[in-house]
Amino acid sequence: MKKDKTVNYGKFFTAPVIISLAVLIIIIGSVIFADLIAPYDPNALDMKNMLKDPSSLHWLGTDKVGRDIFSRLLFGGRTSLLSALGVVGISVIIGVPVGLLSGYYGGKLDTLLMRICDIIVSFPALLLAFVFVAAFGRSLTNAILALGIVYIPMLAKLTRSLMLIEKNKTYVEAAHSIGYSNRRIIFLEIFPNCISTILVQLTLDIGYAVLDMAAMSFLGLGVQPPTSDWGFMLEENRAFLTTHPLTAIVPGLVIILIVVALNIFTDGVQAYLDPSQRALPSVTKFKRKLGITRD
Amino acid sequence: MSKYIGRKLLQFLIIMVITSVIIFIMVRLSKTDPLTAIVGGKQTSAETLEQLKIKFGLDKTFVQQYFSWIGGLFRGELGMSFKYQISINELFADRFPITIGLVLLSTIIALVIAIPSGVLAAVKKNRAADRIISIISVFLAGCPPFFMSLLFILFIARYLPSYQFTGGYSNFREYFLRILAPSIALAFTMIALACRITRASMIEQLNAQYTQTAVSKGVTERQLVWGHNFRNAVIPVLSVVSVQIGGMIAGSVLVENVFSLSGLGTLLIDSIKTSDYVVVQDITMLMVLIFMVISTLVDILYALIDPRIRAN
Amino acid sequence: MSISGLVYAVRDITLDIRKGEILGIVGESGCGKSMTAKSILRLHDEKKMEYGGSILLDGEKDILKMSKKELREMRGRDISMIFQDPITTLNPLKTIGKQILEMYQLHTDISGEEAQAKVLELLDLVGIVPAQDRFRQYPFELSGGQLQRVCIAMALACRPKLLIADEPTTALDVTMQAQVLDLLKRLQRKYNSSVLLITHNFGVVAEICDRIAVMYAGQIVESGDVREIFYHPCHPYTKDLIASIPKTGQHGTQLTTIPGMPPRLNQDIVGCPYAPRCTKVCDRCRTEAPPLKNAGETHEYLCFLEPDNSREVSA
Repeated sequence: MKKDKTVNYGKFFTAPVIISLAVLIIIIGSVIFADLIAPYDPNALDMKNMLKDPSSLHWLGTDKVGRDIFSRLLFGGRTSLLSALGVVGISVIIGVPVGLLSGYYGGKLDTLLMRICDIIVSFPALLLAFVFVAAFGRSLTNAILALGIVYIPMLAKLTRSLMLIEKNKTYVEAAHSIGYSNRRIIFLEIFPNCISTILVQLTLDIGYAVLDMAAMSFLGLGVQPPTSDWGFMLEENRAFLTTHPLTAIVPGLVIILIVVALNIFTDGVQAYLDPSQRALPSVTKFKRKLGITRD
Repeated sequence: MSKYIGRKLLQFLIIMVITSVIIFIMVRLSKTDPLTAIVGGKQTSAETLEQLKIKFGLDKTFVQQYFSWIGGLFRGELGMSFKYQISINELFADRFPITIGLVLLSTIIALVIAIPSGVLAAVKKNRAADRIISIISVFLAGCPPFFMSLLFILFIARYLPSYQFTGGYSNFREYFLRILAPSIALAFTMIALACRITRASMIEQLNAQYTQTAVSKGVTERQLVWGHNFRNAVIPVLSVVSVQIGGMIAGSVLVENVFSLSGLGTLLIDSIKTSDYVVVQDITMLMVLIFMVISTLVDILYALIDPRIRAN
Repeated sequence: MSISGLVYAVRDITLDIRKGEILGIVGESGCGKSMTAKSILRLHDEKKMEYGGSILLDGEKDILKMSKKELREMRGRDISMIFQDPITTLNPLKTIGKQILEMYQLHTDISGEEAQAKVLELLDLVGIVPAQDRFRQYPFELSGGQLQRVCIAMALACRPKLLIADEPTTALDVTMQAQVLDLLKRLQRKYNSSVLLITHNFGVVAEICDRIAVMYAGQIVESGDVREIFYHPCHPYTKDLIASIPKTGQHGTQLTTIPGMPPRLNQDIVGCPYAPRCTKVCDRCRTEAPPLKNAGETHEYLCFLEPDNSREVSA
């Protein structure tokens, strides 16, 4: 077993994974330490320096009211990433238990929970979030809640399908025969075996949540001024698209960068975790290269 | 088969009823009083307010209002807009074709590009063509449609200044030109997702035992891929596409917004911001309806493709 | 027709299949039987595998030198194949009638109606009746045994010169096995095709084969007429295989097994590959490759032991 691990370890850190990981660390790190890095107050108006092109003073220029775009990008990223985490957090807190219980107990409970999921899914993706925000008022919290609800069914169905596979395995039978309670079997015996797959999905989901939150803010249904996030920055600056394209393009590019990096990273993790995706010939080739042969 | 279709239609009806209730309740939960939305800040006498209440049916109970709304939908009467104070049918007349056109055209564009390239990537697995297609699709999957739209507008402004993409339309050519650029911008996400799932699904089929049988029978590569594998591979592709059409319906809201197209999406956001409830209800209902009709059609298509689904 | 080839996983194989005969290849799983069989149709991914040697059709045309087009025309028409698991062998979304019909569309110019009539006739012949109704059924509506009959019908549709059957009965119920083998033999006689039957089951071979080739670690270790091999096996591996056939009417006796595992295909082999498991092993076996010896006109084997002193333990 140990030998296999070393081989896979080598396979996990492939060039795409290393690059995407580096991009993620840089973005997340600079967003966390925004206070230290940002050269300006993101909300400080400076009417003398409106819509300036990039310079040594303002690396990415300034917007229509003279705010430093680089600083706004860092602080906006904080809002974007935190709200994406919030969205995914809500979907995990509700979706995972729903999936586990639904899959484990089956029967009427399963039917009921899955029908509720079907109802949520019958709304075209973001539309439910739009209506939710229309009902409860436009605010960042409501947008996060709304998207969180939209994300629940996907995660619940994934968890349920994992549960359906796991619950018929021998170790569950063994746990039953020892007399463990259902609760213990679900959360301490089965759930740990589902975690890796769920985590992979969550990493992907964070990327999609960044996209969707940006969409909400872009439409004015997410963050409300003076707070800003990447989506809202796009909206603020789109009027100057043709004259000062950088103001609108930069936040868009950052969104793409983080989503693509998350996608590539999860692809790497998936290939690492799922043996069926591993290309066996290259593993043996790798073994030969490392001089590892079976005894 | 007819039993299967019957079951799917029944599911469709039940979901439509439940979603209509949810939409109605959610929209009416809003803190803004509809009367305020109707009056729009003007000084109004108590008498006029009473009259307005009756005119918009707000004097009736909650349940009565729901049934008169649903009843109206069945008769094809969408109700009155609070803000514009005209029939919503009239509001929709010009806007509906824009939205539905966007969704359809971008789906067609996406499928025409994604499916052949997904198949190509699968057939040329791990070769240059596959790598290039896979890398492009990873990038496209991360591109938000509203940002792609902005880039499109920038591109058009710089290089195609004669291409007019906003405003109304008076003939089909103009209509097509209005929706073409936004449709392409909207198609990217589906291109990425459909391409990836097509590739994965085709690879699975290419490795299936029946593929070897077909080769041992002496079929050509083309006969194998399109005559044997594709049909087997298409079901997961269809399910991703049908879900993604939902994403496009919501995405059309964003894209219309950027391109300043007057479709249902711009109207929806507008109405949310001005608490024009009935319009919000109608548009949401209409979008759910379109999405559910497509999902149900795709479910029926599964059965037409796979005899095993027909038999169950 | 003669086949001789050299593959990394399959070493120095020389096989001759004569017209109208059934040749059985026997051996444990993983010894290269299926590899050999698929190589004849060049079914391996040629980006990952390389062929060497020659595979001659009718003693003249080398399959390994055929163009893509020639290969395609040869497959199914001159040589066709039946696979192990009939349930996954057929395309799940096409009716069985259409799948057999495809053979005629690919390799003959006959009209659609004629072809359909032929398919119905074939279905009737292999006992899938009523053929009219079965023609329109999908694979999931038939049992494993029935599907294997369909596969046989499909493989024989164009009356190939050679039919390769790769473990055709392994996935079936015991009761179905005999019927399918029977059918195979009957049709082979009727069409005078040659059959290459691959199996790990000596009983199957004894039932229908004319000649046997015993394979071990990618080599043919012994070959000859079925009676010769059965009654006078010369190679210790063949003897062990025959000894491990469960015998009826011997309750209570322990089943004989061969201890150990065959070597993996990528393993380097010095000396005789069977040496680590052989009961008659001597020092030479571990260092020197054993010679090919004759034990009769058609009977060959690969061992240091002389035919005479190895005949002492005949079954």
